[in-house]
Amino acid sequence: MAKHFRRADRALSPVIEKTLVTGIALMYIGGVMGLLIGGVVPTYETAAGEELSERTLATAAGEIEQASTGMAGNVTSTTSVTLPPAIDDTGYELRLDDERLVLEHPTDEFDRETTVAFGENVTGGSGTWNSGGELVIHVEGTAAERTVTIGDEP
Amino acid sequence: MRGQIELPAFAIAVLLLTFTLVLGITAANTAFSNAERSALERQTAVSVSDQLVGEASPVTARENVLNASAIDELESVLEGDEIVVPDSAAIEVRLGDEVIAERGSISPASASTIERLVLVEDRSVETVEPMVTDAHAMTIPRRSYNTTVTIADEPTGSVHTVRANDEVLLANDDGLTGTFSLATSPQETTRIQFEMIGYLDAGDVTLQYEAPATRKATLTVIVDD
Repeated sequence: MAKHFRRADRALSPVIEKTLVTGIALMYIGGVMGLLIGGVVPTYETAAGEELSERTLATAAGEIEQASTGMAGNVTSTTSVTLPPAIDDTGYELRLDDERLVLEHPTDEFDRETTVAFGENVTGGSGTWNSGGELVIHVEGTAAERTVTIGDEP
Repeated sequence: MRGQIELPAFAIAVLLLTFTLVLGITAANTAFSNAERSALERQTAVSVSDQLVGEASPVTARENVLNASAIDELESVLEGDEIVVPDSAAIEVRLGDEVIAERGSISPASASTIERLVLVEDRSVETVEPMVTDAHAMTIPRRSYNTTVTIADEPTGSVHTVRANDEVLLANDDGLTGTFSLATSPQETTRIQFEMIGYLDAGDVTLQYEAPATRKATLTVIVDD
């Protein structure tokens, strides 16, 4: 009797094997996907976003400095700068408040701020720019009293 | 475990896959850390160096030319508000190998460095006492600043006109005495001519000007945020 059972049992072993391998494969894929999507990818996304926001702000600050210095007399000038439309797939905002230039992003980790070095004759900076279009830097005024505005409209 | 020969093969496959994954992530990590720059820090360094060598800078004679006598004051300039430096940043400025100003402490590993080639101008006051005769001309070099002429009051003769490149700068029919500054252009070589009556001894007319000597140097701005 026992021998008969064993012989009938033999057919089960490939079934068990395939089930086992499929199970392990599925678990492995699931584990790796979880690890990548849950841990590795967001870390990289954040790192890339931080780097991008820093570079964007540095570029903007450099351009604003360049646009506002080195001119004599009465000035009306408009400069357009192309900046990334989004950081981590989300729009952001640049705010100029006197000498402070702030990058505001819905993700707080991407927020950055810096100091813009205007020439002596620049009395004030202001304006807000929302990402998407070109950053327009507007410099206007006499040699003694010049203002810098940033915005979307030329 | 009889008949389950596929399992070891599968285990090896999984192992290889894991190995590839780890390799991929390591490569991505390296790429990321290589691309990492402190863009803001660099921007600050560029901006500070721009301001230092700009025309409006308190330490330059003209654009890209540092005034040698003003370099010592750079430390106090950094403290003041003539040059905008973010409060959080440590900064060091070098001319050649010499540190000429610093604020805060820099750790070389994380700092951003900007180097610029500049001229350093040293002005020395030159005094010449020409032997002046009528229509006598003498030449002062280009880039000479603050030229003054001193004419002594002598009974033997007097200068009544001083010209620079044939342009009348000073004139008095009764004779010029005293010290006058001459509005000469530093852009060109200037011939100074004296028109006079009688004669003057050497030393009766003194010409003074600031002659610049420039040398090249590397201005290094290091910023650590």
